[in-house]
Order: sequence, then C-alpha cells, then structure tokens
Amino acid sequence: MNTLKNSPNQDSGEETIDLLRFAVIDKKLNSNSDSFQLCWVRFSPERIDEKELLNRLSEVLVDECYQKSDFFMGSMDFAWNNQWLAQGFKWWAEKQFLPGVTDNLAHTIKEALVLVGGDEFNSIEIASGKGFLFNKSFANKDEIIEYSKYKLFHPLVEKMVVHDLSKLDTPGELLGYPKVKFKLEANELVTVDLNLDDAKLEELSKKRLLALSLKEMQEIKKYYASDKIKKLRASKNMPAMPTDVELEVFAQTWSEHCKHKIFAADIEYEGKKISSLYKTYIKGATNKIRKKRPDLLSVFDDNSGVVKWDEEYAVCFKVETHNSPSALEPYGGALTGILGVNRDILGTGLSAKPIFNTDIFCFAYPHDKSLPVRPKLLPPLVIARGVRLGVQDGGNKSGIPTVNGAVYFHSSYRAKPLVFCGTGGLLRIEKDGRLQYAKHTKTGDRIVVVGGRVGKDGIHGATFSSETMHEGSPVSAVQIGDPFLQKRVIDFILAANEKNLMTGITDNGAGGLSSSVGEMAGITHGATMDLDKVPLKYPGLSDWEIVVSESQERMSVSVDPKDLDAFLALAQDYNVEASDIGHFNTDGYFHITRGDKTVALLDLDFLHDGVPKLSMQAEVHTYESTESSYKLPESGQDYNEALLKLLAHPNISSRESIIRQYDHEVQGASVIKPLMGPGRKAPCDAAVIKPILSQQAGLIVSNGLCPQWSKYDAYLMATMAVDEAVRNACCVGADPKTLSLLDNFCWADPVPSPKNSEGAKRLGQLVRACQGLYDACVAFGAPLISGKDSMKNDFDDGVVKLAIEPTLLVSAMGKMENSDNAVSMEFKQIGDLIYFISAGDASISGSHYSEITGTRDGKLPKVDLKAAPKLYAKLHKAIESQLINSAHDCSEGGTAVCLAECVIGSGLGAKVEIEGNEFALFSEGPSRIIVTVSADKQESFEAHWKKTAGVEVIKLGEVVDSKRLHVGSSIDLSLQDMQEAWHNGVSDIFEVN
Amino acid sequence: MVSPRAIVLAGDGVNCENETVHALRLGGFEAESQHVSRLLKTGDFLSNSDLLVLPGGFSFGDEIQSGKVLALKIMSRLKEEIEEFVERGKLIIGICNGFQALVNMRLLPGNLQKERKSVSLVHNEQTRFSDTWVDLDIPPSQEGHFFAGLEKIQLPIRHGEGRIVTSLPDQDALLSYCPMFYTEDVNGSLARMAALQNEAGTVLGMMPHPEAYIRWTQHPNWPLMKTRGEDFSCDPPGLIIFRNACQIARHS
Repeated sequence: MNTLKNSPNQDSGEETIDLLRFAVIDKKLNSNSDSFQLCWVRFSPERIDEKELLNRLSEVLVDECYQKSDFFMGSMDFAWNNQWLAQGFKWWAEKQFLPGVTDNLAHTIKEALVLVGGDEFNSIEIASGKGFLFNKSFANKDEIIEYSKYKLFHPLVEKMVVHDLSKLDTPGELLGYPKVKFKLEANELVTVDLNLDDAKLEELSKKRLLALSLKEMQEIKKYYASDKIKKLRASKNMPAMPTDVELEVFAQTWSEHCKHKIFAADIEYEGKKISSLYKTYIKGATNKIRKKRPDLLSVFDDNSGVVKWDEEYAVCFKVETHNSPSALEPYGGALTGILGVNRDILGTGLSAKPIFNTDIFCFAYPHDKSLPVRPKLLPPLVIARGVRLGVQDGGNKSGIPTVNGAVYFHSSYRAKPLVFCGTGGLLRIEKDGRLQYAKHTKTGDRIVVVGGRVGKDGIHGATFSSETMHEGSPVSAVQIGDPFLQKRVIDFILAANEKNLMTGITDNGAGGLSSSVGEMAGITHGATMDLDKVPLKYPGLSDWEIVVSESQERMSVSVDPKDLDAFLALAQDYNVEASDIGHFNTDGYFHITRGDKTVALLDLDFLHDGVPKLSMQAEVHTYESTESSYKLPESGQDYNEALLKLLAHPNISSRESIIRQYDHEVQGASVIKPLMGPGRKAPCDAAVIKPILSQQAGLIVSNGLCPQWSKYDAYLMATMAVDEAVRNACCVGADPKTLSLLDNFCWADPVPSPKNSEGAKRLGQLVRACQGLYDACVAFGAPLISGKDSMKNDFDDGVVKLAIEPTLLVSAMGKMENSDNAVSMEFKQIGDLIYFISAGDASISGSHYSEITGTRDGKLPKVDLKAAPKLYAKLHKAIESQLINSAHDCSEGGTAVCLAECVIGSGLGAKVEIEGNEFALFSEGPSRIIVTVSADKQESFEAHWKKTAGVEVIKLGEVVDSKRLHVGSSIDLSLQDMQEAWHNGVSDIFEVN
Repeated sequence: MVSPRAIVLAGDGVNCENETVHALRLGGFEAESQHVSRLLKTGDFLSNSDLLVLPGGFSFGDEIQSGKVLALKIMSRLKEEIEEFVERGKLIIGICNGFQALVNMRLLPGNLQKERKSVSLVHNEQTRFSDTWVDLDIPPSQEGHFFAGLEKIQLPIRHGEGRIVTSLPDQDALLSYCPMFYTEDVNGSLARMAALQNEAGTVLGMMPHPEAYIRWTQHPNWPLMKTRGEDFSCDPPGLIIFRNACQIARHS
C-alpha cells in the first residue's frame, strides 16, 4: 500500500500535522462500480505511527472479502491514474462535505478507530467523502459538475472537484481537509444601540436577520428606555442598551415560528373582530368537546398532545413541518424534520417513547415542464427524492416504524415543498408518584444539555444564504441530522427516566438553548446558564450564536442536584455527552453568563408576554366561479381509458416504491400495515398498531389533506380534511369516540402589507379554514390536541412570485378495543356483496377526473356534518360486530378508482351492476366508503343501516373471480391493466437510491 | 422447570430489542435486554446465559458496513468470552443487523472464516433498503434445530445489506451452512441464501425477522386468512423458531 501525504504543514506552530488520504474500493463486485469511499485523516506523526494508522484504517474500513484499500493519489504517482485509465475511465472526481457539515460516517470511523486502536486515536481528525470515475462521454470538467449536481453532490453542503486522469494534479488541486476556520471573535460584550428612528430600527432588524417587525422593535426599544429597566440594569452592572445576545433571544422568542403571532392576532373579518384564531377556533373546539373527553391529559401545553390510553399508559402525538430546510437541501431538511419531531415526543412530560412515524409530503409534479425554473428553486424531482431518502434514514435508523403517510402533488408546491413529519409516543400516566405527562422542574434543579454539540448549524435558519459564505466558513444554512447519535440519546433519556433521574425535559429545536431553556425557565420563573459550559463542535462561536444555534440531537433536561452524578454517569454508559450548564431559580430572569460575566439578563415576563399583538384585516373570500361552472362532458368519453389514466395519476397511483423503503414493522406492533392482502399491494387507509405488545387494543393513525378545494373555499377544504382523516381511521376500525386530531396549517404569507397584496385574501382563507376546522371537530366530537403552523410558504426572487395552495393537514389518532377486528381494504372472497355507503354531496368539479378531462358539473362537495358522524359511528359498530369483510375510503379519483384499488388489492374481480355515468364513477366527495359483506350477512348488514338519516347505502354488486372490473356497460378492465397503470404512476420518481 | 435465560443486546443503534425480548418470553425464555456498554463492562453476563441474541437495528448507523463496528466493539473486549460461550455449546442468534455483526465477528459461517475474512453481507443488488415479506424454503432439518418442524414459511425482511457474497474459491462450501433460502431472488444473495449457521447448529444468523411474526395479525394477509377461517390457535412460524431455541437451550 502506498500513501500520499501533503507536505507537512504547521498547525499553530507546535505539532506537525500530516494529511492522509485513504480510499476503499470494491474489488470488481459490480461491473459498473464507478465510485469508491474516500477519507481524509489529519494526524500527528509524533503521536501516531503512520503504519499503525494505516493498519487500523484497514481494520476498520476495509472488508478484505470484497474490498481493497488503495494508495492515493495525484502528482507523485501514476499508478493511481493508470489503473483507472486502464479500465477505460477518463476522469476522476472527489467530493467531501463543506466545513462544519455533520459527517456521520467520519464520527463512526473515529469511534471505531478508538475502539481498536485506543485513546491515542482521539487526537486524529477525519472527514469522509467519495470518489467517482467518469468515462470519455464527458467532454470536460464542467460537464461532469453539471451532471453530478444534486445527483452525486449537493452544492449547499458538499464540494466536488474533477481531475483529468491523463494529468497529474498537484496536492493543491486536490481537496484538502475541510477544516472549520474562522476569525476568532474577541469575547467582548457587544451592545446594540436602539436609540434609532423607525427606519433605522427596521434596517437593524433586517441587517441582523432578526425578522422582527417595526412594532416589535419599538416595543423592545421602549422596554430598555423604561426607568425600571434602566435602574435594574444599572444595579446589575449591565449596559443600558441590549446586548447582542439579548436582542437575539428576543428575536427567537418573538419569532412567528415560536410565538404563532398570526394565530394570536386580532383579525377583522366580515365586520367582526376575531380575537385569536387559535383561542377561538382551535382551542375553542377542544374546549367545547372537552367535557365528553376525560381522556385528554395534556393538550396544547407540551411538546405534543397527550391522551390517556388505558389505566396505566398514555399516548401522545405531534406533527411538525420542515418546509424551508427541505426546499434548500431536501435530504438534510427532511432528515432533521423527522428527527426533530421524534425529539418532541422524547421531550413530552418526563419523556415518551417514540412508537410510530407518519410522513406527508406535498410536491410539485416532478415531470411538469410548465413549472417555472429559477436558480434558487431546486428541481422538483431532486426535492422529492431527497425528502424521501431523508425520512427513510431518519425513521429506519431510529428504529421507529413509518406506519402511515401520504404524498400529494400539486403545481403550487413549486413555491415550496411541504414536509410534514409526525411521531407518536407512549408513556406511563404515573410512575413512582409522579405524573409522567407533566414537568416537575423546581428551583435549584440543574440545567443539563444532552446529546450533540453546538456549532453554527441552523443559525437564523434558512435566511442565511449560501452566497455570504466563504472558504472555510462553517455551513450554517442547512443541517444534516445524525440519527445514530439521536438513537443513543433516546435510549439514554428513556433509561434515565426509568430511574427517575429527571424532573423535566424539552427538546432543542428551533431557537436552540434560547428556546428550550427560556421556556423551561417559565416553570420556576427563572434560570441561569453559563455558555462556557456548553460543549462546542469547534471554537470561535460568539455568545449569541451559542444561544440560538439549532444544532441537532440535543435535549435540555432539569435534574435534581442530588441525582446529577447518577444522571451524568448513566449518560457516559450510554455514550452520550451530558453537560451541566446552569440551574433553574425563581429570580424572574433568563440570565446568561460567559463564566462570571453576564451577557444577557432578560425579564421573563416581558420576554414571554411582551410581544405586541398583530392586528389585521381579512378579506372575505368568494368562490372562483369560473372553475365551478358547468362544462359538458365531451361525448363518447372512454371511461376505461379515463380510469387507467386516473390510476396512473401521481396523486392516486401506488406508493409501494416509497413504502417498501421505510421500515413500517420495527417494534413488532403492526396490525394493519400500509400494504396488505395476498399480493401485499392493498393500500390501506390507516395504520393499526398495538402500542402494548401483550394487549389487544389497537392504536389507529390516519391523515386527511385536501388542498384541491382551497381555491373554491378554505372552509370546504378544512371540513373535507377532517372528514378524510376521520374516515380513514374509521375504515380500519377506529372508534370515532376516541379520535384525537392534530392540525398543521401551511399557508403563503397571510399578513397584509404593501408588499403583500395577496395577504388579506389569504388571511380570509385562513379564517374560513379555521371555521371549517372548528365546525367539523365539534360535529365529529374529535378534539384537537396539538398543532403547528407554517405561514411563509411562498417564493419571490424578484422575478417570479409563487405561493402554495392553502393547505391544512389533519392527522388523527384513535383506538379500537380489539385489534383482531381491524379491517383491511381489499376485497376478500368471491361472492361477497359490495356496498357503497355515503353522506353529503360530491362533485365532478375539482375532482381528479375534472383535472384530466376538463369536465365540470358546476357543483361543489359538501360534508354533511349531521349525517357523517352517524355514518362513522355505525361503521364502527359494523366492524366491531364483524359484519363487514373490507372497507375502503373513496376519495381521489372517485368510486371507480376505489373499486379498482379494492380489486387490485385482492387479486380477484368485481361485477358492479349499476350503470355508471361520470358522476357515479368519478365524482369526489366526503364520507364515502366501499365495503364488502359476506352474502350470509346481507340481511343483518342492511338492517344495521336502517333509519340512519342522511346516510345512503347502496348495493353495487359482488366480488367475482374474473380478475376484471366490470361496471355496467361503462367499464370493463383487466386486473393486470389496472395494476400496471396504478403501479407505475410514481415509481420512476421514487425507485432510486 | 427452570426457564433458559436469554440476553438480548441493546444500545448503539440496535433497535429490535424490545420485540425480541417479547418474542423470547413467549417462546419460553426468561429474557431481558442489556445495553452493550454494560455487557462489555461486566463481561461475566455470558456465564449464566443460555442464549445471546443480537437483534435487528442499525448499529452505529450502518456506517462503514452494517454490523461492522458493533462486531469490532464486541470482539475488541469480549473475544475470548464469546468464543468460550460458543465452545460450551451455548446458543447465539443474530437477526438482520445482528447477523451482519456475527459474520463480521467471523462466528459465521462456522469455521469458514477462521483464516481470513471471506464471507460478507453487502448491499442488495437493487441497492435499496426494502421492507417486504418473503417466501422462505427450509431444507429438512433435524430434530433439535432452530427450524425444526418448518418447511415453507413467510417472514419479513427489512434490510439494505443482505446479499451474501464470498471470496472462497469453492462457493458451494457455503451451502451446507445455510439452513434457509429465499424462494425468489430478493437481494442478489448467493444461491438465494437467507441465513447461515455454524457446524454445530448452535450459532445462527438470519436476515428475515422471526420476532416480526409471532402473532398471526402481523402477517400482511391476516385479514383474508381470518375471513377464510384459518386456524389462529397454533403458533406462527416466528414463534416456533423461538420455541425451538428454547428446547435446544434446555438440552444444551
């Protein structure tokens, strides 16, 4: 083995540091093996013998069964180039992460080297990367970079250089070690003068990326100008003006993300004042239902909503969005999204164990050539693939099953993709005399941060653009998660809680320590923390950066001082870093020091309650009448062709290519999986798992998302989404009386301003959606237990303005007493009778059929809020008494698609007697379900539905063995043709790695 | 009768320990999971155990190679204890990531890797992770084997690196160490091998997950099986494997 070293360079004038490049290459395993693993190792030859290092690297990195390591590279040695030239390649390229990007592989390599080589190996630094080989089909280096961008490397987090194999590149032309280097800032207290006029205040907010409005800046200015605060600060030896740390904490705490200012605003709508959409409609709905739901243990207070499961256990559920990060770097954005919501569960009460994930993605059509192409917008296909892979790594590597999800395509998501990541958890209600769904943090408790170290990651989130970065500056705009580190954190936290070592816990997500410690400080009414105690990834972070950094995989824990030693020792056992950084008190301040020196002293009351209320005017929204007007179907429509087209529609086709890449069975609890049936192709409406393996009860997870109705009426969209979530849950057997819902609003900016002419209209849509959500939740008796909003889902680069359709995701969690009674969607046996159960109104307008044919019927669907709850209650009874053999939600594509899916799932056929017209076949509406019933249960089934006002039950036909779907004289298609169309709709988007 | 004792490895990214403990208990074991750090610290845990299970998961994030670093960690501290455990005829089962670790520990297949590393589990031919149920063929096995009484079964696979490859000149040599085959090519594995064992049949590694089929309603087609009135009172195949293991442990 041969190695190439850089000429020794001097680090800080003391030790010689050598750089070693090490390549691991598969021995002809694949004939098309055109990539290899590469890593850069910085080491001190005085501490570690080079031979020893090479041996250990081989031991750790090379599997001699099928791999070899190779010498490396460049100007001193032709052997490297020649071996590739001999195999017909013309170029080779190397890529590595930019400085400061989370490098999970490198962390593991180093840990393994220490395992086999001893502690001496702690002194080395490792970066991982990859090498690629290209043949002469590429004319030059630029072509290769263009080809590789987003496919082989992502320019926001990685760097790639190409080398010509016919030349020998000097070490300077090769990639060196991606070391984080930046100017070490003098550790001095920085104050920011707020004695500025309005224009200057606005400028300051913009320049420092504070995202505070003028009104908010004025409020902060006023606070510092008050006599009381002046006196206080003088007495504590603090400057009169805010420190940069204080200003950043205000900006973080008062951010839309953390304070939900739009949902708290005063809104004038239809001449009436609504004081907080959140209090009026969201909490309002839950309060209205609450009396009937004694199982609501903790709603809207904690990191997730907590509901009683049985006498001993509770379950909790939270759904988050990670849209902006996913738009920038889809893999990292989605990965940190799923890991982030996992931490919400871990940070609920005294910690809950994550037991399921659910993920809903909204993308632009990847193959739609009419969508705008902008330099700052990633190609839709790149986004879709990156997001899918990020969630795969996040879920699978954490050992949490992805049991449910959805993918929805709409051209408006070109503005921003929506990435909803949800996680459910299990916790005990009480343990050793303490309620587990509450925090018990008290004065004197230590503040301990657990998990990852702090770097510049995610500071000011996505507003920090890549242009401002220079060589050596750590990447802060985007982050890559470390699911392995987080799995260790989860294992540790759950073990610590088993031993009652914590009094409280919350996660570090948006806003970092500022948010997590700042919020927990509210419990005791005071906290002091020392930034010198916070472990950093690299030196040189300024105080405010440490406070608001969003570095991942961290939890903030309160620990009784008497348990501190045990807590820290347990952390060590679990290979998790834990640091005591301060304590909670009752002083009324969020007090941050650097050693002895105070860098921030913030009045908690003002910090948490001082943000001025927004006051806005909303426009009353009217239907877009042209869309709902009548347009005659073209005569002679071929319904067979229409059905095949619909089955291949990206919103309808099989999700198997995604589902198979997510572990949906780990933890051993699954009952109804995403795909069921004899061919494992039946797309189930909701998931059923057994949270407690030894018990029969089943937990149901489902979702509803209907943005296609927003353009007509956001009220309709919201009621349809609730109905869909409830319907999906009930189709598998959920008891509707047990359902708890989550709301996730994603909107384009609804704050009216001169720059945002659409604001008032969007705000009006938001009001309508909240009203719809309220009415539907109250009607179904299903409380909201948690939610989130993301209100800046638009794009504007000065040339093109784009906005997403108003989107409300409703997620549902419910229970069934006996999971053995759960029902899957596919037809079961020949001779079973097929019924169509429905309530409310359906329409062709707005349907997917309308999208592909242009037909409109001038109607809109409507949820019958009186009849629909009865329908679901009766459906549940029918499932409980085992009257039905299958049930499937009839949604996108209408009845014809629903029947086709039931046939595909079963591998059988169906003969439907009724004569199908367009409306019967393809209209879309709420509260529609297709069920099958054994012939011998026909009488009791029909009797079961007697006297259900507003609910229609029609016998459509029966299950046959023809392997065809016949609907009267309208449709006659073979199982195989339907299956092919349905299966291939999106497989080319997701079947990649 | 005293139940045999099983220890299930946990921590460092292992994630199937809970359901594996549950399955072992149903199978007749007294079972508990132990964090790998604690096991390495005390070491003597093996002396009063009858079965060591390395369950599924993503140890060390599957970085470098699945199961590789976990194997390095265990063998750097417990090589002798583990080898002695096997020599005493005690049982080891590795499932999925645990199987990958056993191959990297060179405990499987038998003594074939004694001289040098010559068998590996590498990326599936489709290069993708896949969670899917597969049909499995089990060659006639003797009484007192993990798979006794089983012939054709279905279990889920959930892996991205399950393709068995070898650098041995005589690839067929591997076949006699394989107690379970996929009926179809699901990952490119040599001769459709899904599992490997040692000569004595006491160390077993398998890619499919037996702990994921210990109740009938774990099968993706159970609703139809139930509609047809199939017998759900007997044990599902995954549970039979753990019951068999319990029988062997009692007699070892």
